[in-house]
Amino acid sequence: MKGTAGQKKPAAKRFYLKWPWNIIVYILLVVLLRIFAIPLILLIMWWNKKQQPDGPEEGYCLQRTRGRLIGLIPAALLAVGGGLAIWFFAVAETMPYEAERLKEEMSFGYYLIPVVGAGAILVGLFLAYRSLRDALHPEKSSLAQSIRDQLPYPEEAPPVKELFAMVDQDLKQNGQWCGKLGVGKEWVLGDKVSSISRIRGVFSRVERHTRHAGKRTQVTYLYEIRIVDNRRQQQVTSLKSKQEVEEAMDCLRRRVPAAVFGEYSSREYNDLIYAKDEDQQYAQERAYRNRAAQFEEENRREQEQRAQNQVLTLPDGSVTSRITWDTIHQLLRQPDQAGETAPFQLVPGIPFQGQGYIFSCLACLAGGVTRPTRILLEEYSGTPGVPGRYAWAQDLSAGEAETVLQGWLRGEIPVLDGWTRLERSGRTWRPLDEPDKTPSPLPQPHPDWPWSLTVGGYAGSTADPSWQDIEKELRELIPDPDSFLILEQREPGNPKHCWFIQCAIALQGPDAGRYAVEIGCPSPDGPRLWERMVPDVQEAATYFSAAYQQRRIDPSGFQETEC
Amino acid sequence: MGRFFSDRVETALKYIYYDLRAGRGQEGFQLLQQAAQEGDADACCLLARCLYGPEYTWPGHGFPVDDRAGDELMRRSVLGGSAMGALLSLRSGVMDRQLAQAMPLSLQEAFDTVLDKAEHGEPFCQMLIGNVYFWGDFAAIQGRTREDFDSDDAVQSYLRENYAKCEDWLWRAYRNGVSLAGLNLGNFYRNGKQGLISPRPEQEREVERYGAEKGYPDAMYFYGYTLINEKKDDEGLPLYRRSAELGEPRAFFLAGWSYELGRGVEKDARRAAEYYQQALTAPIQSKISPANRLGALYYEGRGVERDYAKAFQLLKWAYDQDTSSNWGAYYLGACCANGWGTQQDYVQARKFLEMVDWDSRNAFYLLGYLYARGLGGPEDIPKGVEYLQKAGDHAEAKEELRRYKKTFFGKWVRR
Repeated sequence: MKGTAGQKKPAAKRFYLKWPWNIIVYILLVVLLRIFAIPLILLIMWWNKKQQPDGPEEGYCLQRTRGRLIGLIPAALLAVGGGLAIWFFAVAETMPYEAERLKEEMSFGYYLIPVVGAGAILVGLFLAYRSLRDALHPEKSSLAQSIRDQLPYPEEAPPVKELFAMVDQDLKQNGQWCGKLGVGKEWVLGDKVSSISRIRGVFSRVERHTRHAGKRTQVTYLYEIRIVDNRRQQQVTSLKSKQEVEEAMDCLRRRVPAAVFGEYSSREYNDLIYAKDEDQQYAQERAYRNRAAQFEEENRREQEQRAQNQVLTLPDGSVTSRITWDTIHQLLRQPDQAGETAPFQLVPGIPFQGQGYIFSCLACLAGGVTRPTRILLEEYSGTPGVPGRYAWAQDLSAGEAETVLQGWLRGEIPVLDGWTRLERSGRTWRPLDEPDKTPSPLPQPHPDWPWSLTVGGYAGSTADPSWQDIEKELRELIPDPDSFLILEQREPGNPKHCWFIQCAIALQGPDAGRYAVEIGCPSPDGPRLWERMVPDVQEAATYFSAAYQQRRIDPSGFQETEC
Repeated sequence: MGRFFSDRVETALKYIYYDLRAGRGQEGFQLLQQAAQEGDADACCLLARCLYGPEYTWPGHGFPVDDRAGDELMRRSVLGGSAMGALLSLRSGVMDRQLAQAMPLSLQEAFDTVLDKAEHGEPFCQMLIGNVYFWGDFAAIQGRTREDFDSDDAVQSYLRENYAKCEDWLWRAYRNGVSLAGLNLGNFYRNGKQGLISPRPEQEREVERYGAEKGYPDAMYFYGYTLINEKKDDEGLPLYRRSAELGEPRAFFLAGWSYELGRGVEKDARRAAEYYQQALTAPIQSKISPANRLGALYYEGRGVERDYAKAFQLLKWAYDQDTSSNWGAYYLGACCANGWGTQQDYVQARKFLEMVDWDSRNAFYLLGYLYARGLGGPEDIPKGVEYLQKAGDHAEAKEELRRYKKTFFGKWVRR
């Protein structure tokens, strides 16, 4: 569902522990508190994540490579284990009697101790090297390498910063997260990165392994998503639960519908992975392309059917949302053929925004080639179905009218220089004496005055509230006389001068259930109040957000009311 | 000159009453107009009857309705000496004392003239005579009052004897092709005459069956209706379809419905849409159901090209006629929620979607979306999540659900 209400609001910056300070703090905590540092570290990690609600500021990829530092723990364990094994061997060698006994008991195994120890140290060193390399040199990380591998010409890949930005941007805008697997429109970020256009197969692996050691039974679970690309390379990502695997499969099915989906080690998997024969590979690729073309066609058809975002009312009063340029063109030319003007109107399902205003309707009185065509753009009243108070009108030539209408069909508003601003007067319109960009003297918030937030039902107010607090309180409004919200500014040193925006849900009347957004300030003639009813909290939030963050509110639709 | 009336009138009678299947009613109407303009008194009363409304001819003809023009024509017919006009004006209420005094024929003379034609086989006149007996106009025509009888029994006997005569005349007209005669014949059998003649409802069924077998479009519709009421859809619906094919407007809706759902016939949404459209433009009362059904077809793009504006217009019109009906509630809610065919209006969307009282995953998804995001009313994440969960496997609902999580204390919050 698309709508003005679905837009994300910009969030204010919050403090969090940035790299590498977070690591330093973790190390310090471990040094000071040893094992007791673990809950504290987990708490800081959770808090750090909460402070970045729009995703990690450093980017998903960089966060992922830096996260590889966690690999130092197994590396350290291996190195310590290996060191202990060598130390044990060396100590045993200094005691001939003990060494002889051990040789007898362990025979060949005794000589393996230093070898295993050295091996463990080497593996530990390798793991440590790999973790440090990924964390400190992202350009050499396996993640960066996996992105390069997905590019058409890996050797000409841009610097790692650009590589990561490419993936991060896609995930930020379009990302769906299933555990640590992020699925964008172009990229999939897991333990490695896959380019969606290259994906040919997605396979889930959910396995339960049971191991019996003496009386103990150890059960381990394996949850993996295996993505196979068009070069038959696999990008494997481990997940935490079966649910995450299912979600990831669902999500990938929507994003790459033409790929083959199945389970690990299924016939489809084996066919795709082990297709050595060129003919077989060619046939698989052809089948993929056929499926992709079919899905694309279905999608196109669906989009075409869904792109009925306006209602065209024809001169005979009938309506349609199947609007083509041919229809509009014919209506514009109708006066030349029929000898009479042809009035029609276009009403978008979601009002169009542009040139600083929101418009809900375009009315056109086509004049053909000989007479001018009058176009009237009606401003949105703020409430669906309620006529707007203001409009813009202009007489245009046939060519100009075509340009305006072509733009309107794309949701574009023409430049309004030279257009006449009108105000509703009964059933008609009258020109506004002074075409002013600010239709009502709606007072705007002051750029330097501090904010305070008052919430109905709580005593006192919160100074300097965050946007998150304001938004949260807005969302918690209920239809109750005691449920309201006031965001207020007072001039420092002169608290009598104030400006506020408040909101509550209307309890009765025709607007019952709608949100009343009110803006007020004192004036020499007494307090003044402007009001606008909006259908939902999202729209109310846009005004609060505009006041709080940009200090400028669109006056359209606000009407002065009695205090 | 024809055997009974002028050529134009005889041809018009054929087109308007005797051969409905030909679909030439409009031609008949024009012939009557021409004849009336030239002063044909019979044509005047027949044209007046056409203008009185579809119940006096056949709704399938689609004649205009104009009572005042009809009355004027009826007067002209009576004053012009039409025997049919005299009898018809009696029934239509145009005959007042002034007109009765001014008319060149007495009612009895008019009756005798029409009776003569009826006896010689003119079907419309047979129906007129039948109607005179059915409606009890015979007493006024014969100038008989209570005083002319010795006793109440004599009155009863007189009425019983004359009312009963309608059966024979209406049957004659009906057999000779005037399907409209079957209507009063059926009424006569169904209701009888209170205190005089007992009802015989089984005979009404026989009238309908006979007419249906003869291929009268209206009889097929009535008989189909009877069969459907008897739960014999397999026999009733084909009659509806055949009746609709012959242009019976009252059969359009159910014929379209059977094509839409494939009841006893192969599914054909395009044909269904055509019938619904015809039902909407036909001179019949019940248009809510075809408006709803056609609106849904436009919404889904079945049988017609998808057109949300048309869908919303039809469904909203149907809803406005009967606001207690929730038939189109989901479609209206979805249109309002998405801004399809109307301006996006979340308040209205919630209102309509909340009217949905059947298991609709799409409606649950939309309601969940609106509640959880606080669109069209206060935000209520738990309620929104509840609806989204009710949507089951709905892909978008599952995706929307991922925006929310359950806290340790069991409260649903935004992720």
